[in-house]
Amino acid sequence: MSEVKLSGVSKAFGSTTALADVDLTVSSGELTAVLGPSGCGKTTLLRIVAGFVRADRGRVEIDGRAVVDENVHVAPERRGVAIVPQEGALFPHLDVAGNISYGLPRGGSTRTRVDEMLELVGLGGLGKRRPDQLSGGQQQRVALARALAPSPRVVVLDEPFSALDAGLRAQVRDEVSQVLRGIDATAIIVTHDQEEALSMADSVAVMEQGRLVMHGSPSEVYYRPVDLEVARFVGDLVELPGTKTGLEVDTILGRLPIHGSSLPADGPVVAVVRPEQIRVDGRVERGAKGAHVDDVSFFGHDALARLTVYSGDAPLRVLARTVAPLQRGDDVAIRVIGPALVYPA
Amino acid sequence: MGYLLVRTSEAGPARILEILSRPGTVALVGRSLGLAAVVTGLCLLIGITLAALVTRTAMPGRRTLAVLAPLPLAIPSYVAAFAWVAAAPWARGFLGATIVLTACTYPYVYLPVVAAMRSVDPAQEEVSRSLGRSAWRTFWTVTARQVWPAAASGGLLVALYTLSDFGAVSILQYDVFTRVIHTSYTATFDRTPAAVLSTLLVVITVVIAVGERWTRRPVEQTRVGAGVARRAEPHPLGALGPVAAGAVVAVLLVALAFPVASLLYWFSTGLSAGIDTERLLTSTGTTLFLAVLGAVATMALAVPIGVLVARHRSRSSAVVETATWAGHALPGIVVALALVFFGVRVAQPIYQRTPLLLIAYAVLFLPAGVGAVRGAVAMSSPRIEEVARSLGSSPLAVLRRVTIPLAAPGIAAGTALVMLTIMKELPATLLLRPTGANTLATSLWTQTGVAAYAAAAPYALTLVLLAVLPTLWLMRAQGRFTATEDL
Repeated sequence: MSEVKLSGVSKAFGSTTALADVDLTVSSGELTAVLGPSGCGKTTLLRIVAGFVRADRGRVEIDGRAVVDENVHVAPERRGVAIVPQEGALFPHLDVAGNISYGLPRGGSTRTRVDEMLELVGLGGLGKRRPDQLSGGQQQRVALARALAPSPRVVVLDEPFSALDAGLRAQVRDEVSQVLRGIDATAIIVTHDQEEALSMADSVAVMEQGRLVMHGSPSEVYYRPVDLEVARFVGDLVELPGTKTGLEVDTILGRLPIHGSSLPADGPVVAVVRPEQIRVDGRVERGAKGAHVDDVSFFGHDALARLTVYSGDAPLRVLARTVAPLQRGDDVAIRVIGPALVYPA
Repeated sequence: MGYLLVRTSEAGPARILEILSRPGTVALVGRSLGLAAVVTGLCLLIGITLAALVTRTAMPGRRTLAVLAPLPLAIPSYVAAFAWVAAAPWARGFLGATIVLTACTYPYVYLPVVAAMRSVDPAQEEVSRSLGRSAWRTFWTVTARQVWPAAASGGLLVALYTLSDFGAVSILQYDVFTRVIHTSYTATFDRTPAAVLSTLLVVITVVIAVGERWTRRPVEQTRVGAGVARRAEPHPLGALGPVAAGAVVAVLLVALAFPVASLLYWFSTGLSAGIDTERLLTSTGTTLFLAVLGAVATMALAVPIGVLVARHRSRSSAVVETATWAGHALPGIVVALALVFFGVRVAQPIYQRTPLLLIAYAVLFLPAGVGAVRGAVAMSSPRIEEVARSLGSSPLAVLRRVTIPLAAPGIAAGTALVMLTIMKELPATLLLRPTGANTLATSLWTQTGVAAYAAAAPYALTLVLLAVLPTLWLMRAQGRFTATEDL
């Protein structure tokens, strides 16, 4: 498997900028998620890597060899970049085995390879089925097997799970991620689902309006987002207006230590913490604030509570992830565990 | 085209203006367009309604009716016209031309719409119903819009067929372009007015073809998504079922039963006089030979053009597509005369030999083939082809291994359609056939030429029977397309 390197890649469709000067390196054998809202250019990025869209500017290298550059555009079939599109796009005129063997050279040990791939994706014995006889999850796994069969240098997956229902989705996602790791595939997966990106990928590239705004490990992206936009996008957020002094910030929920490297100047800031950093207690202690429970969404393993803190000038809405047995209408004490991040107000 | 341009430009602008501004010309344009508009409208109405009834409803007898509905395609319009004139002398002029042309051409709309309806994802109809729209409104706002590209292609074929039809309007004595052009060609030595009128006809055709593309521009989309649709649940018609079935039977009586019955009557009348069996057999053989060869030659051109226009929509592909339509709009007799001109001056070795006739067929029937291929290719998702590219197939390999197999039912249907049309073709065959060869159509024409309709009936009947074969093949090709979805 191979390294993929994009430098300065730009693309516009008419007056709409799809990609603006994107640099991204996907290390060999790594699974990178490109995460962003609809229309942020992530699919365009993927299609440029696969060779279906021509970049206006910039360079794409696979294993150090340019496949996209000024006056260079290697045809899709010569790149060794296999694509797994949304909803699979299996060849309807071929059976499962025919689909998987499509990219394999004629003759040779085609059958062995097909059986191997079927086993890999857990569909052993289904080679004779037609695509329309498979469930959505099975179709998606066949699409993956088809992409992996010719041992491509890179696999790109375009929102591959968006057509699956929630339960199946988590399951197929885990299976796909295991298969990809099992063979050390270099893979790029495009998604707008933060949970999917954070749980599957070795690294997450966050895109916004055609720009790559952050690229890091899932925990970096989650705990140290580069700006407020990224912070909001990668998960639920509690935003607290505050005043920064040195390495501390004063907020309505008390004085919090600051976490992070490039800090804004002292003065008014927005301090943010994740809902799981809000500790809910039954009684008001020293350093804790009183809050009213507006609503609770119960998930079994924990619950997400929407609270209103009545203190200071205006009521402040806060999200808390908690295992405490809260009910709507309760009055509770809350405090913040761990450090906050601060961004310019 | 070149021939027309040469002839027209030789005339000079003043002469052209003079011909165009004659009151007769204006009336001619009105009559031709009026006939084409009425016939096309009726064909769209009948074709779409029949297709909806047999694919989407539980109408009694729908399977049998679905098989019978395309069969009028096997009846050449001049044969149907003879049948009508012989039995109902009042059916001349506009009314007769409308009835005959509608009855003979509505299958051009019916067949592609049936295929398209079977592949529309019923989930979309279900969504519409769940949003509170009635079955009726759902049909017109969802289903009909989805099948519109197919219906529009079919409607275009009908319009062009009507504009270029010569046999039927001659027999029914309705003066439209082709008849006047023909009279002008044959009755005078000055062929300029005919050339100018032919050029005008080509211009009108291009306008219609561009208009057709404009109407399907907002809805023509290639399929995205999982590719394979479920079958729709048939919609119960209740008490309306027999009424609908009755209406379909009435259409079939007019379009199918009446001409066939008329032919049988004349056949039995002529039986006593004896039949020239040998000539009948050789004519049948020649017809089959030319139809197969012509269809293969036409489709060899139609497949690349169809793929090009379906997958690479650009200005130049639009021009290529429109150019193919232009050939179709030219009356067969104009193409034939242009090729005679070409044969005599440039291609002497193939003049009055099979290759030149095959070229004429390709020029005339390319649009039918291109339409079928384009429709079939557009039904499959381009994502599928991208996957094939990403797995290492070159564009040509993708064409061979993915695009063409997926479009195979459409290509087969196109081949059948072209074969069928070649069997029925008259004027070009008449002028360009190899010396001494006779097809069923030309034999028929010579017989009616000597005013012996009873003697012509055996040829007409054999022609209809022969033409039923590709018609059945056409339906089977589309049946297979849907059958694979049932597996």
